[in-house]
Amino acid sequence: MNPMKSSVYWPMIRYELSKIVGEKNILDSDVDLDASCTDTWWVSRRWIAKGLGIPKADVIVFPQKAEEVSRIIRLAREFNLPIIPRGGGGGDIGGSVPLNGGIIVDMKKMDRIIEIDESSLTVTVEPGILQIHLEEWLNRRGYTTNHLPASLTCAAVGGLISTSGSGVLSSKYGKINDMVINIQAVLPTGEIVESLPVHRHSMGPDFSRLFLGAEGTLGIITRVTLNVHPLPEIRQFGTFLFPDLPTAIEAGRLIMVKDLKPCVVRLYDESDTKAVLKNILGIESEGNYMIVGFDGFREVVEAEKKVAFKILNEFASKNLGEKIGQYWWDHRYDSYYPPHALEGTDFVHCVIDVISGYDKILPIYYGMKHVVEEQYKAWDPTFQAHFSHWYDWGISIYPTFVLHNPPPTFEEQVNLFNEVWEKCAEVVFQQGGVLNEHHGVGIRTGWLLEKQEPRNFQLFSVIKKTLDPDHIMNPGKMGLGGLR
Amino acid sequence: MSLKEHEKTIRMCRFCWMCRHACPTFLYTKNDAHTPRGYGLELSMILDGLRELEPLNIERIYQCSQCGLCREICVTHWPEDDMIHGAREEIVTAGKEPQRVKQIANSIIEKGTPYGNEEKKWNVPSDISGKKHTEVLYFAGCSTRQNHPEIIESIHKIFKVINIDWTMLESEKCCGMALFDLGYTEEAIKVAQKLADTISDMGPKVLFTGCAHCYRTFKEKLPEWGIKLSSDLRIYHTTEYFEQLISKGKLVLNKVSDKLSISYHDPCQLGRKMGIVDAPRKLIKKLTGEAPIELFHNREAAECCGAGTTMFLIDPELSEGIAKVRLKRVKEEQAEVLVTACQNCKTVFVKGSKNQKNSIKIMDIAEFIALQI
Repeated sequence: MNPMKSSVYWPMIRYELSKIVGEKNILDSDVDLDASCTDTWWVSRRWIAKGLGIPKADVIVFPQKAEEVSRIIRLAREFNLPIIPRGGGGGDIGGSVPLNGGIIVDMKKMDRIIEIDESSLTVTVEPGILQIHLEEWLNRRGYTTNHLPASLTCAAVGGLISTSGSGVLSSKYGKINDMVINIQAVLPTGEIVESLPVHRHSMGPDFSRLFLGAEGTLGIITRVTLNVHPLPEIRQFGTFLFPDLPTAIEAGRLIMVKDLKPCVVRLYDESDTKAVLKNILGIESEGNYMIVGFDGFREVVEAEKKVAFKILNEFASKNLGEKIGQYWWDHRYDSYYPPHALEGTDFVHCVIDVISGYDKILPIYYGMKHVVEEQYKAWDPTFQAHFSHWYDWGISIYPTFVLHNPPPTFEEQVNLFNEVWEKCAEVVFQQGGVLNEHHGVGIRTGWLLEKQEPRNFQLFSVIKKTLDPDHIMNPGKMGLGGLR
Repeated sequence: MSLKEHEKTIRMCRFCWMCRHACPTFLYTKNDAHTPRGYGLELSMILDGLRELEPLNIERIYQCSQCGLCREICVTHWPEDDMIHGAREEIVTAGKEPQRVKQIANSIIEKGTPYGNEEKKWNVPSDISGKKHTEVLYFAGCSTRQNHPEIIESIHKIFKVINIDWTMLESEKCCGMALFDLGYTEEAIKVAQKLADTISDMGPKVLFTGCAHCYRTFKEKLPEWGIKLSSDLRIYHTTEYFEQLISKGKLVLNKVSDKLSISYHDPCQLGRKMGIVDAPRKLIKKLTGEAPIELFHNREAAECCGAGTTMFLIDPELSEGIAKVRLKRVKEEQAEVLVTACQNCKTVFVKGSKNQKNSIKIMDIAEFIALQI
């Protein structure tokens, strides 16, 4: 029995919810809760794979306007019930997993496209729209957000904003944070608030930033205005093989600091290069391969390519040509479809996304690689990484670790998972990098948030206590506590 | 076939979110249980003994339209539609099917139609039906006979200008696809065998149907079920048959189409499952002089109208909701007429466009051809 459902208050709460959203917009059967109480986090998949059951919310509600969200929150406050905001629900951090009952506020019926402003190039939408649907709608009109993360088909716009998402074109077009112009949100006390209507300019503080990466702990986003772009005339790629990682990073850095604007820069370490080039492209090669893409008007792309490729050719051991890059672009999401290589086996797995300045990224990479490969040798580890968001001030790295032969019990595996995370995090903190900057924090790394920067976390905690004194919004996430 | 035989698909789909955005039921309900992942998750929990088949998850399993779009857009093409079909077979074997499903199945088994009542009358001379050894046998299908006499009348109108001897069955019985869709595979094979015997006894050279579901039975399921029709019988869908006749000059159009803008909706069973996507487009081009305005999701990747083979009978409200979602996207293309090539698509589109602003005219392809005569 779910906690609240066994309470004597439950019929009253159920009745009130029904008055707010209508009976058709409430789900509370096991079959519906099963599908909405899990995400793609390794631990939540293990709960299911090992038959351990799923933590359950009491009910799912689908509001259709901000006022309904406000009334749901006020009701939850009255009964001290957890609220779990849910967008696409496909994150990998446990962010939308209900830890001890409560109300899932599923935003997917708030998915209207309210307005497109074709003079200022903005689109105003409700947050429950899946990013793929927004993209398709814009593409039909000749526009794009240029926000194309691997979660394109699964993530809702509200979820992307709440986890500070980055897409594959971030090097030129920025993170979702850079695209947000205006946000309307409902606070944990039920008030509907709205930020200023212009892009990153404000008289006084710009409170739209408050909700970026807040993972539903500070309120629920109910409307957002994003900037959009015309679809590019062309998008072209080059592929280069480098003799070693430092050389490749230096070549990429030079492109970025010289203010060239590649839409894609993606560099694979030796082990990822081997795997990708051999398994997917059938090429036997040692080294590090990099895909670089440019988009926009043909003349501009040709000019930028000319300058950038000249730099890259100076450092590269081999120019692999344009076809591989185009193939990668066309198939970049294929590996997300089953069969996933590890499914059906006992494994411990995670992607650790980290960002830092150029001077710190190699020590971070080699430090984490050493931790995984040397300290966890007994569990048959693999460590591979790619570098995929490049800016003129720094670079992001995605190392993936897999322990192929972990200890048998779930408890031992989770301990190991957390231990690897902690040791890798120590490397990142020592070097001055930032962890988890665009996959979100959730439960997965909530316990590391304070360790990363105690003073930043202190400010976050103060804001949280002020806005959500009863701690009803997404409790148990981001290290903020609040579990009943 | 038992659920266990679909275990691989179940376990693969239970953690995968890549096709959810295309699932027609999900697009309307926004319920994650209504997605291949949701189904995979629930069925894996059933296999693992953590859940049982009970009324609410059974209801969800019958709310899949079996359109197959999830399988189509899956890069690795996991057969999620087969997985749901396996679950329905398991439900039927366990005798746990919902009352409405049981009613429909019993009606087909006992009366040869899911509708259970008398067929509607259509204005076609009775001496056309029941002729043996004609060149052509037109098989309307039970849903056309019940819901769309205008399609049969259109076929009659077209044949009036063609010098081809044609007929219909005096009494058509279900082809078996609806029973198969509901999970009654053994019964489906039995009714399909009876129908195949009747058709063989009639001895036509050509069999054509406007029902995408019947077409799939004739072309794909009968061979799969080991049921034989005459080896030289040629089988066509309406779109293929008339496109050929026009190409060969056997069907001459007397009237140039009004300058209407046309969009074509690919029925799932015809386009995605049977690969008939070019014939309807060629046909429309021959009828209007212009290719149809393509919908954003089209051909093999077209979104489902919401009817399914039986979903519009089991859960009409859900079907209508899904149809409205598809129509909303259709309207973006601003066509005046939406032509489709399956009577079930027409049924739910007409229902879904009622009382809507700027509703689009919806026609079956046979009606559209008949307009040009």
